[in-house]
Amino acid sequence: MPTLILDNGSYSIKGGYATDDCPRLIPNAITRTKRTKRVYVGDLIDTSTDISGLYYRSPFERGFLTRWDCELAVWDRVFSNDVLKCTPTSTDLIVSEPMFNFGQIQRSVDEIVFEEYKFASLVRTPATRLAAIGAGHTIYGDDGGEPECVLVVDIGHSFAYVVPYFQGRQISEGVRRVDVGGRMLTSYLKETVSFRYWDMMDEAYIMNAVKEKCCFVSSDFYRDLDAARGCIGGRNGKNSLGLEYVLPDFTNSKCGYIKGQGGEAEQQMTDTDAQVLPLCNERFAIPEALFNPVDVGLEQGGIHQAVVQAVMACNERLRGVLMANILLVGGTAALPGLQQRLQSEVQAMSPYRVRISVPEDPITGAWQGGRMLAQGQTVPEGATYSPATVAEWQLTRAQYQELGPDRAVAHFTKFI
Amino acid sequence: MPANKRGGKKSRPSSAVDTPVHMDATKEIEPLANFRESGINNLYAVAKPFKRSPEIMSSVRWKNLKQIIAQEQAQEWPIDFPTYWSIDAPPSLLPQKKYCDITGLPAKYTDPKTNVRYHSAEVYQIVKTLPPGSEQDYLALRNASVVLK
Repeated sequence: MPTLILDNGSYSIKGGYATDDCPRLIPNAITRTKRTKRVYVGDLIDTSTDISGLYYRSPFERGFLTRWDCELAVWDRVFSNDVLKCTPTSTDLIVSEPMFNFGQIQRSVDEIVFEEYKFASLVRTPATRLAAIGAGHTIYGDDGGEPECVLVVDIGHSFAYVVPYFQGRQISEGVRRVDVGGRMLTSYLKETVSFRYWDMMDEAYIMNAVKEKCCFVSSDFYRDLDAARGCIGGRNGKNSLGLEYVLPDFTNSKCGYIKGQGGEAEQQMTDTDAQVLPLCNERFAIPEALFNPVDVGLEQGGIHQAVVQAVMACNERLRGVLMANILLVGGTAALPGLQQRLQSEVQAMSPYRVRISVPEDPITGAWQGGRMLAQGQTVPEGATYSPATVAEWQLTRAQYQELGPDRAVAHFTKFI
Repeated sequence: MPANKRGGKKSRPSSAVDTPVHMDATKEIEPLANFRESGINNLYAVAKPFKRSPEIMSSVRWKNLKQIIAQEQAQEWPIDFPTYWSIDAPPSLLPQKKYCDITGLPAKYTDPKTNVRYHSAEVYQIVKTLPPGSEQDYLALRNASVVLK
């Protein structure tokens, strides 16, 4: 029976079978275009050319899945013949949920999976747990399975979680959260650009593309701020930190491109057509919010402080090992320069040697862990702790109907 | 009707020409044009959209985040369980710390006539020579003044 792994994120669904090498990314939202007033579910938005002023309707509310009418539409699209071609009645499902999910929402997920889609079995677990399972491959480079002690830093769309794991169980008193995620960074960029250059307050889609292409994390913020002084978009090539982003005109390009790196779209565009967004210190000042949420008005510490607090909340004997096995996953973790910056910041505050590992594609980090779980590679050889194999973990449809909704939720809390 | 992935027929707004969903799915039954005239006594023959009705799967059925949080708060929690809405500490069992009303230093003594707290004999000289109204003003700073109506 094939196993379907669904990393159900608030920005995108990473879905694929255990036999696939990498998952498909489907935006987890229903979008409506402004001018043509048409509704697109999930990845169908890529077929549309009118993407200005897109209105998003997301099933997630502050990172928790509450709007099921929206999510059912997206899941129908994901399971359809165009995307994953899934027949739920003969498929096992591994689905991810946010950390400390509400009991109500857990019950609703179980109910939808078993009563509505009628999957054969279900494993419902926090996304960081899946990432921890795949950590051995990233940290040690081999397929040895889950390391005994790992600290997962999951910087996603809604927030960033720091979760320590020991022998497959999370250390709940060591879990820390910073409410800065991809969504916050995109909004911050939108507001900054709207204040300085063009009004992009409605253009989340385009600003997201700008953030992913242009932003990076600087290793020394004040030095880069000085270097970027007086630069407006790197005009005349004077400042290496500035660049000009050519905004899309929806005939030649859809998302826009950086001037000089546009390829085909750039050659077809004449100079008079181009609407240009000059970016300089926004490139590294926006991701700085991850380390200083006070900049955006949040009274919280940065992710480096969250990492240190999380480790200090754990048992003294585990601290050194946790510091050496830090895994960085999540969409926002793909920002260039984040790993080095986080490494230097945490090392400055820690007496132990700090080592931060990032998989080649941080977006699919949790999905890859789910795939290793489905293939049975959870525990390294010779480990003394009892393995959480898929067979014990999963809840079959017959078990669900016998146990009922409350005890089904309790079944999964055993493995936390 | 196209079968969708949810293992049932596609739900759409019910109309007059719905084919009936038969409880015993062995044979189809013609829709009844006129219920009364036929003198029917087999209700299985009538179209009854049960769980496929659109209201059942609508957004009204699911709670939004505010309602979920309100429901969590209303549950029975143990008294000393720390939650985000109950971080109040219990009242203290230790005696209250008293501070001088004039200087702000720790006050070990109280003037019996006016209940003004003072730090030392030096400060008491000042307390003795206070004008009549200002003593109540000092007490009012810590909500201990006597208000005569």
